[in-house]
Amino acid sequence: MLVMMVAMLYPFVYTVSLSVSRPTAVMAGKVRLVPVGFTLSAYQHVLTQSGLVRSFLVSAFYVVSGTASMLALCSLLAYPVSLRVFGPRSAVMLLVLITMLFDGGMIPTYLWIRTLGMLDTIWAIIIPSAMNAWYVIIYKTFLQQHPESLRESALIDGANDLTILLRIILPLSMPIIATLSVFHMVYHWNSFFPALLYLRNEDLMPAQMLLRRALAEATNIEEMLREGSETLTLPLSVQAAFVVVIVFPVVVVYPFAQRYFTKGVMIGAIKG
Amino acid sequence: MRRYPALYVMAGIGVAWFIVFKYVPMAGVSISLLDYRPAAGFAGSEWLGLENFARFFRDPFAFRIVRNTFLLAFHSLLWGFAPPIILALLLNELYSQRFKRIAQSVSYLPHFVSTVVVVGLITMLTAGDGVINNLFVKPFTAGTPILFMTRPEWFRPLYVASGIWQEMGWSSIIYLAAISGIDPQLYEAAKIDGANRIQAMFRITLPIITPTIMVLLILNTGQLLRVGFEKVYLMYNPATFETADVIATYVYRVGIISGVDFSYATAIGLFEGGVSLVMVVAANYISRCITGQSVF
Repeated sequence: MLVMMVAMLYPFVYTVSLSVSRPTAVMAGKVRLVPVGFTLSAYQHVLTQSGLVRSFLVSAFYVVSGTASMLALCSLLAYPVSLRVFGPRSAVMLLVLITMLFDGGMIPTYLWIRTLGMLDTIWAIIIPSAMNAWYVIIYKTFLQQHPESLRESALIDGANDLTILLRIILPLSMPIIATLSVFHMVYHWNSFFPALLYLRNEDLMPAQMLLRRALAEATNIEEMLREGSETLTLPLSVQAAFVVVIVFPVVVVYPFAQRYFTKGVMIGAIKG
Repeated sequence: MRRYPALYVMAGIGVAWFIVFKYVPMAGVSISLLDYRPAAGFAGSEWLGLENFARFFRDPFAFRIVRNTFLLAFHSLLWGFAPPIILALLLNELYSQRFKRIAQSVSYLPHFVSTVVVVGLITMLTAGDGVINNLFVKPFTAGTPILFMTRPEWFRPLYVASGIWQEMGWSSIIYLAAISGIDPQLYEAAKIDGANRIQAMFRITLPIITPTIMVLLILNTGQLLRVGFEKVYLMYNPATFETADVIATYVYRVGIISGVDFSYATAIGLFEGGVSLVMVVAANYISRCITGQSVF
């Protein structure tokens, strides 16, 4: 068990060590587990030169706005379909479920987003990922726990459905909202494929894209080295610092968010 | 409709979203029957019928990408299936609840790290001056490193191993849930009958979670062709195309990078989607026949 934990954590420890060790020691391959020497120059390099701070803010913006739109859209759909008085609920659910089995695939989706004029805008990142069948199903399943008499009594008191959703249902649904939010936030923070596909504008690039580029450069450098050229850039320690900076928010939030993660997978597992 | 118009408006927004972002692209696969030119539009593009599919079967790369997709998925399933079960059994044997919780947290963590970072970690660990080369390769090759990321024969092992590392803990949750549902009286009875912990594990825990294992095995088989685009795209480079290029990455290169052959790329994607749909449905059917459980 301990061995397994060590194996799980080793890549992280190694990366942190690389990022703070003296570059010369890294080049000489002396770093194995603990840092050799101590310097923050790699971090200095990453934080000052690569536009990382900016892309961090961009990523944070996608996380916040993406999660907000996800919650708004999912709540609006999950609430009616959770009610028995809503006639076409099974037809709507069927429409949602079918999307679990079929999808248009990469190219038609790309062409359609392009036709909509969303290419190279923040909307291409936020809106197409804002809902999926899985979110709607677990949201709706949770809402069905509330007795429908709740809604009826509020209606008698003169509330309309929007008020009921905002003032009664949502406050009662905090556990599921937290679970979905945490999942969606992690999704947005970690995602790079939509950016790769839909974005060209450098100002809109999320942090993961920058990291990808930094790593891709490093691979090319290896190829260059193999061919005998001696140009040297982006050393291992800088790459490592880059990775650490990007993983950092996830690791910080992780202990607090963990119970929602496990809850989410359980709901998902039960409802298939 | 007359009684609760607000509900219809709310659901209408969601339904509209699904139609716009899911169903329109689904209808968009019809361009696989055309020679679609964005400038000409649907009406102006030439009708090709099934020509794009026929072209795929003549494509010299078709065999390679289908084989790579299948093998990557197959190896991921083969090697990745047992570790979560073993992990769950081990976690279950831990006495200390506190340590168990920490161990679980640690094992879930990689699941929440992005694919970009995972590939970054692989790159660093296997770099020419990375730790794997320094410890295991250079001592035996007189200082010549193996550049793992540029070797076709190393692509699959790296892909599969990192996949296990990333998903093992997360996949173990469902087995742990199955184990925690076992009646503790069974263990007490076994203990009185003189069984030790190892025997209890093999004679009680394992048989009881076997149905869960079976269902998951069958369902995972259904996912066999669904190799993620992201990780392959991030890991491969022209030097490793021979073993690394999969259907999704080929579609991306043909459709997006070249930017002209949309119809052909769509046809290839549709081929993949069709095959995996058949496999999911078949796996589900087999699961229902054998274990009485199915997803839909």
